[in-house]
Amino acid sequence: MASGKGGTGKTTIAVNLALYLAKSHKVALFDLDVEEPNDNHFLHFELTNFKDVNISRPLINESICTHCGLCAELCEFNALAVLSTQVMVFEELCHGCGLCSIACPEKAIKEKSHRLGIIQKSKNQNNNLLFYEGKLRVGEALATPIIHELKKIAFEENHEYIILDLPPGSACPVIEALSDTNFAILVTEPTPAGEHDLLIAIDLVKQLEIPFGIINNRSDVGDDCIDRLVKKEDYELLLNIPHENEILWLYSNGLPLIGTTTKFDPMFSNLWIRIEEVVK
Amino acid sequence: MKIGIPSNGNDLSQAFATVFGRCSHFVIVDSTDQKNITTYPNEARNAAGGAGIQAAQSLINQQVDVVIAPRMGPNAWNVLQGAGVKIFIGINGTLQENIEAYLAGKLVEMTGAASFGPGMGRGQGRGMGRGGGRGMGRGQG
Repeated sequence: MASGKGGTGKTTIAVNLALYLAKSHKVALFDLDVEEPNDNHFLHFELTNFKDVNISRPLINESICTHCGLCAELCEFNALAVLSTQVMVFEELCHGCGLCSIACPEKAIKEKSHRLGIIQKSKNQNNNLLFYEGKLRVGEALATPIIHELKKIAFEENHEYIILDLPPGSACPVIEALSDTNFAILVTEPTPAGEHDLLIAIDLVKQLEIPFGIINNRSDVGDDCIDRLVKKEDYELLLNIPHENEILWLYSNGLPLIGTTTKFDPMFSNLWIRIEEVVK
Repeated sequence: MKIGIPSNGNDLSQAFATVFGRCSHFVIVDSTDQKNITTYPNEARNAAGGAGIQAAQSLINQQVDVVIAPRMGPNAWNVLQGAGVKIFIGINGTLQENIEAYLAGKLVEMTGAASFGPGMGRGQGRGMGRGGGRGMGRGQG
């Protein structure tokens, strides 16, 4: 569940599609928006700590370092500077790739573990719906390793369906989250920003060679830019969701559409039928 | 003594660059022999992050003693300070004018890094006070 623009409805659709499918299938929902995981505001599952996510950062042994400068030269992120008597490590720039410690000819670089965030899991094991979310610690900048870890869990475990709720945008965290998925649902809205950011997201899924369909949320607000785009390019429009006060009311009160009422079951049933058609 | 200056070109007639980490070239001048000039393109210019660090590292590798810069982020500042390099605030003008001003003792030493996050070159603080004193003395006698 991806989008270029934020606030188009990824979380709403991910959570409710998961709840709908879990009526008859084994489903795992992963909240990959680790900077602001919101899925559980609508699920209200009791969560338990599953694992910490750490990266390695360099620890320099100055007593054997010859200050040759190779580590700083190789570092893709400029996280190291080598002076004649000391090595400076700029930890906030380090991506934890470990190249410096592999390359050091003196073996003067060890790695120390740094905690980036945590993965939590829902406790309700008997339910058809299993839920995981990642949380980036406040002050940390690297979301990608947490997303990577969540996806490892998703693909290692044996689930019938895996729904990944992605962060907005089109940069590293989104690319990490999209890679190796079977199908991308791009959620947009018929506004200039919605269309602009959708085009970026489409460009991205095309480059990653992931088949995709589009959901046009609040489809009767704004203009017909998404309809025109879909027609012109022959894209798959999976669903139009009209603006509806009841949806907003449920959303504002932290309630899912599926389960609170049966009114929206046909919407998600139709969505699933369309997805299956397009994937086949 | 070796003086390093951020520049937009490779000779002393060029304008002093208004950015440090992402200038196009660095020019290094030997104060005892001002015809002895080294220039090299700033490879940090297009870095995704840490440009100031990489640029400062390149100047240290050139063994400069002094850097003249418009302003500097905290990372580049820490690298140059750690290496014992003195940093002076440059003036609007050519590289030649900056070197002359430095040698005449007219440049002010930079006392700290610009106070913004790494790689976030915001703010336009320049502090370019121009002397405007006009003689108003009346002759007496």
